[in-house]
Amino acid sequence: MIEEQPPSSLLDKLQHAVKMRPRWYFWLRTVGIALGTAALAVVMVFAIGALFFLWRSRELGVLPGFGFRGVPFLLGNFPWDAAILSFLGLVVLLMLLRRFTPSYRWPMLFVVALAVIGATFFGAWASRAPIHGILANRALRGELPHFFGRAYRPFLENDRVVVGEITKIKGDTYTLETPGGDVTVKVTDDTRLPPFSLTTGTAVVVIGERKGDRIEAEAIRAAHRRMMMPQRRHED
Amino acid sequence: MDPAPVASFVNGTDSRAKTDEQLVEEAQTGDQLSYTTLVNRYWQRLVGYVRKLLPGSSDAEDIVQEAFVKAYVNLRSFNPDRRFSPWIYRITHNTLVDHVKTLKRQPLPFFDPDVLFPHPVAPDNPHEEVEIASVRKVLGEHFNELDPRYREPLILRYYEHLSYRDIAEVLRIPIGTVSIRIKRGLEKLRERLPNDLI
Repeated sequence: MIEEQPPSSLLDKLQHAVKMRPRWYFWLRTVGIALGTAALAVVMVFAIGALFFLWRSRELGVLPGFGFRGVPFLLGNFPWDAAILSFLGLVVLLMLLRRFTPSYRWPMLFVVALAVIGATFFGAWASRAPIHGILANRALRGELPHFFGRAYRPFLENDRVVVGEITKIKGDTYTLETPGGDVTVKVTDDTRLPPFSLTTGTAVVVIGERKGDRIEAEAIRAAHRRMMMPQRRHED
Repeated sequence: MDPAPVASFVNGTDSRAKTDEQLVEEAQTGDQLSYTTLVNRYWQRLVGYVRKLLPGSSDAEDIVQEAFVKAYVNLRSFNPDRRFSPWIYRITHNTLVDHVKTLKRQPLPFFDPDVLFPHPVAPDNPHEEVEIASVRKVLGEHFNELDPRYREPLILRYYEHLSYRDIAEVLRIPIGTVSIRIKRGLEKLRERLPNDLI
C-alpha cells in the first residue's frame, strides 16, 4: 500500500497563509457564550414566572370547572405571549447547551426533561417575585407600552366573564367588586352554582350575559384566591 | 515535498516518539513542525475515513485539508489534557457534514430518535482480530447499502479503532447511542450475508 503524504500546498498554507487564533479569543468567546446563555436563562425564567403569575391572577385554573363553556375563555385568556417566549427560550437554551456543553453525552430525553423540570421549578419560584405584581399594576393603570401592557393584564377581560369578590348579597342578586368597578350579578333558576353557599368575601368567576355593569349568571365558580386588585397610587 | 523527514526531529528529539498531545502543546507555542508531524500522522487515516464515508468522491483530500486548516486556526482552544484524536476526527466529521450539506447529496436527518432515549451500552472490549477483519471485509463491500448513521460509527470503530467514548465525542451523541448503532449496523450487515461471517 502506498503511503499518502499531505500535499505541499497544505503545509505551505499552514506555514505562511493561516494564523492560529490567540488564546484570549477563545476565552472571550467562552465568556460571551456563558453570559449570553445566562441572560437567556434569566429571560426564560422571567417569562415562565409571568406565565405562572398570570395563570393565577387570571384565575384560569377555575375555567375548566365550567366545562365546555369555559374553554373559549381559557384559550382567550391564556398568556400565550409568555408561553411562546418561554418555549422559544427553552428551545434556544437547549440548543446552546447541546452545542457548547458535554450534555450530548446524555440522552436528549433526560436533558429535555431536566431543562423543563428546572425551568418549571425556577419559573414557579420566580412567579412569586414582586416584579410581576408591580408590572401587573402598571398594566392596569395603562403605564406599560401597548404590547407589554396587554400581555400583562392580570385578570380576565371579557364581555361574558367577570371575576371579583362578593361584597353584598341581596336575595338572588350579588354585588361583586371587580378591578373595573362594581358589577351586579343576577342569579336565575338556570344558573349553575358551586356546591356551597356563596357568602360575602368569596372570590368568584361568573360567566353569563353581560349588559353594562350587570351580568345574568349562567354559571358561578369559586376562584382559588382573592382577586388581585389594582393598587392605586397615593396621588390617584 | 516530503515533509516527513523534516518533521521527524523537533526540538532536537525524535517527534515520532512524542504523543499527539505533546505535539499539540508544542504547536500551540508556535512550533509549526510539531503541527506538521501531526498532519503527517493523521493525513492518511483521515483521508481514508472521509473516502469511506463519501465513496466515489474526489473531494476527500480537500475536506481533510480544510479540516487541518480549521484545527490549526483553533488549536489554542484545544486542551492538551484531553485526547487529540477524537478532536481532529470531530473537526473532520463537521467539515464533511458541511460539505455534504453544500452539495445536498444526502439528506441529513434533522431529528434522530436514537439520541432521544437511553440505550444499554455494550461492553467496549477489544474485538478479536478475526472479527475485526471479517467486519472490515463485509463493511467494505456494503458501504453504500448501509444507512450513514450506522456506517460512520462502524467505520470509526472497525477502521479507525476508536473507543465507544471517542466515537461519542466525534459524533456528539450519547455513548449508548453509539453502542446501539454499532449493534444495529452489524445486524444489518449480517442480513446481507449468506453465512455467519460476522
